[in-house]
Amino acid sequence: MSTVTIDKAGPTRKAKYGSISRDRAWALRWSYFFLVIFAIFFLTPPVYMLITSLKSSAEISAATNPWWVFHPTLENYIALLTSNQFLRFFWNSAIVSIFVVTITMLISVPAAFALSRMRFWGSATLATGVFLTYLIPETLLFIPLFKMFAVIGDWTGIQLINRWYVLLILYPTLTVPFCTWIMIGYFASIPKELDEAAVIDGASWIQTLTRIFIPVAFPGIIAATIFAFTVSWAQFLYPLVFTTSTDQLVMPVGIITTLIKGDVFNWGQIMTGALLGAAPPLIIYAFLMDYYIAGLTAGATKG
Amino acid sequence: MSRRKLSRRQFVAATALSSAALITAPYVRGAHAAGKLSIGFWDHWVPGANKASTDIVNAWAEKEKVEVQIDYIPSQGNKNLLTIAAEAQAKSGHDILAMPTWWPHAQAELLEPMNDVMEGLIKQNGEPNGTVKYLGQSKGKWLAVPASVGSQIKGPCSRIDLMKQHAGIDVKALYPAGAPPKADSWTLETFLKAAEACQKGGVPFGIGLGETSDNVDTAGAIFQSFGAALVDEKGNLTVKTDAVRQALEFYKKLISFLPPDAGAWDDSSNNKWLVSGRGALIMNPPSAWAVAKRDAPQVAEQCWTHGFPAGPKGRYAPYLSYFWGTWSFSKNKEAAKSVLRALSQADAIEKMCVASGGYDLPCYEKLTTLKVWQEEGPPKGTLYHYPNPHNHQTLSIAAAPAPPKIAQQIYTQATLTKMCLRYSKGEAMEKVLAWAEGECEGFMRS
Repeated sequence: MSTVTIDKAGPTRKAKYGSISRDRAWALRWSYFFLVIFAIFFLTPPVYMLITSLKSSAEISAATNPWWVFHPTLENYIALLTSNQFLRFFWNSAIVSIFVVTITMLISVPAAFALSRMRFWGSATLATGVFLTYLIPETLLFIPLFKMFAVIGDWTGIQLINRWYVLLILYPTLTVPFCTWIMIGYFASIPKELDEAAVIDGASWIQTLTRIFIPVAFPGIIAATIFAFTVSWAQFLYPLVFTTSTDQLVMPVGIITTLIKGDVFNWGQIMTGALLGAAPPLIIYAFLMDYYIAGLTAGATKG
Repeated sequence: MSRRKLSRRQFVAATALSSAALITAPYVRGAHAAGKLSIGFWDHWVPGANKASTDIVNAWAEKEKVEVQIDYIPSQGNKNLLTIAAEAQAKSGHDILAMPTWWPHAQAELLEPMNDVMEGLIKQNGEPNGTVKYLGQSKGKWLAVPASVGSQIKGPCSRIDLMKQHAGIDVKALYPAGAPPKADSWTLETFLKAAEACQKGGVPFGIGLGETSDNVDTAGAIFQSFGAALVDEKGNLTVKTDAVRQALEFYKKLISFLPPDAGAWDDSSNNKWLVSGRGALIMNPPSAWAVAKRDAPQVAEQCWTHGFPAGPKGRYAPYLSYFWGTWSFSKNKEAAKSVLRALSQADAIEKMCVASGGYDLPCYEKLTTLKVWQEEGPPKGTLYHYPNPHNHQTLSIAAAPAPPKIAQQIYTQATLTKMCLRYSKGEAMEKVLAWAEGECEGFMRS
């Protein structure tokens, strides 16, 4: 009987100590490489806007190097920030966004809680239905809504068209379904034991929501709030259709309709207005980004 | 609970007393006795131009005791078109709404006929130009009242110095201020040679081939100069004709002398081209020149607005008209008609033209020689020929004479500029014509 010698040694490759740290270093390098590429790609437009906003109208018209400011000026910023009209747009946007966020939260939080925890007949279908309403584009809805408000105006004498507060009715049609949906996911990720403990302690549904769920689900609520604010702040089609008078306009429409006239573009002020308009959401995202990501990814994993 | 019963005798007595009291009471006319009127005007780009319209309307409202609300609706983001569409669907909205070019025809069924208003205005101001009749009338019915505000001719705006230097053309001699044009030599042939010379000189003509109106309007006028139309007035296809082929051949040559990115130009591109000093000619109303006055005065003082070059079938210039329409569901039609008459008086039109710095153009034959176009500058007289004061060219709109509902689609889809681009990029002539024919057949079906 022949004996077979089995080489029990591992692979002949020499062990490389420090390979994990070397791999990590490479991963880090690649990460930075792609991050820099992405940062350049996505920051190019805002940088271009900033450069243009610092140019005078004459310098923009002269079509010199678009990436350089030869005679920097703050005249566009001064013109807008001292313009009652622009401040009015800003104010209208702020008021509308704050109200819409409040209305959205007041509707979405209880709705999400009910759909995720209060098991009732058809709740799953209803939850899906809520999200499906979000998928109907506003481009399909604006004419029926316009007609609806016109009829309301004719019947009741309450004029909603060309009033800023019509947006408080319109925007929640966009924000409520999505916010409800993301909070359903967040509430669903909260352990059942928590509400069971609350029920054992004698808490009502309302108390369970206010004392247990809202504090625990705070990141999700913040995420939904940010989303609602961003949608309200940046929405364009509805205010374009439903508001006309200058004192009723919100920022996105105000900038477009007052700084572009026919084929005459006031580029410096358009860029300035767009940058100033982008500032509030940018600040909010900068401070609450962690909550936003946590909220959006909630319920994505089990356990 | 007891209810007091009203006898027939008591009812009759009370009614008689009430009626007597109402009849014998002194008639007090309130501040807004004649009701309310809401107007949606086009939001003018010239600072202060809206004020002229507001003043005229307010003066009328004061006299007629009507409460007026005016909204200035911009064309940016197609807000004016969205408003027209939404109000038409809702059967509710402004009593008067400014409608650009094709929209009176598009909403013909929902507009109050304006024949009674137009008869008086034509007697006073003279005949409207042919384009306005084409766009504003349907089956003998005036659909809307032509508005001077926003109406414009998109003729050539040339650089006096560059045209002289590179093409050897003195545009001021062709179109002298205060005198009839001496422009027999200003033909499409001359125009093409000038385009070539200016391109070689590094200052190409700034004519776009994109899908926006400036580009389409120029193509429309050039096609009409060759007698080329895609669809005739009876709705017959006329794509595969020699006239269309000639127009495409001309454009192919012209495109080789235009900026390489002309196919992507929008309505602001040609303005920038002129104001930056990079081009010798653009096709535009005086808005580009007005911006140059502010941003590049040295460019502005070399600008001269004048007539279109003539083609084998005539000299055509694109005229874009705005209208004021009143919905058939308006609640105050009589007041609407009354204010439209006030806005269309010669002195009111002149006031609005002056406020717009000469940009706005009335369509009536007696109102093309107002002082404003003679005096605007620099250079003085630069706008003299802008309103076509000597009827030296036929005013037209691209895609005419096709039935307006078909023409609107040819215009909006920029079929003419697309054809020119396709042919210039090397697509075979017959293939381009077949494509255009297919497009037009689709427009006729929809």
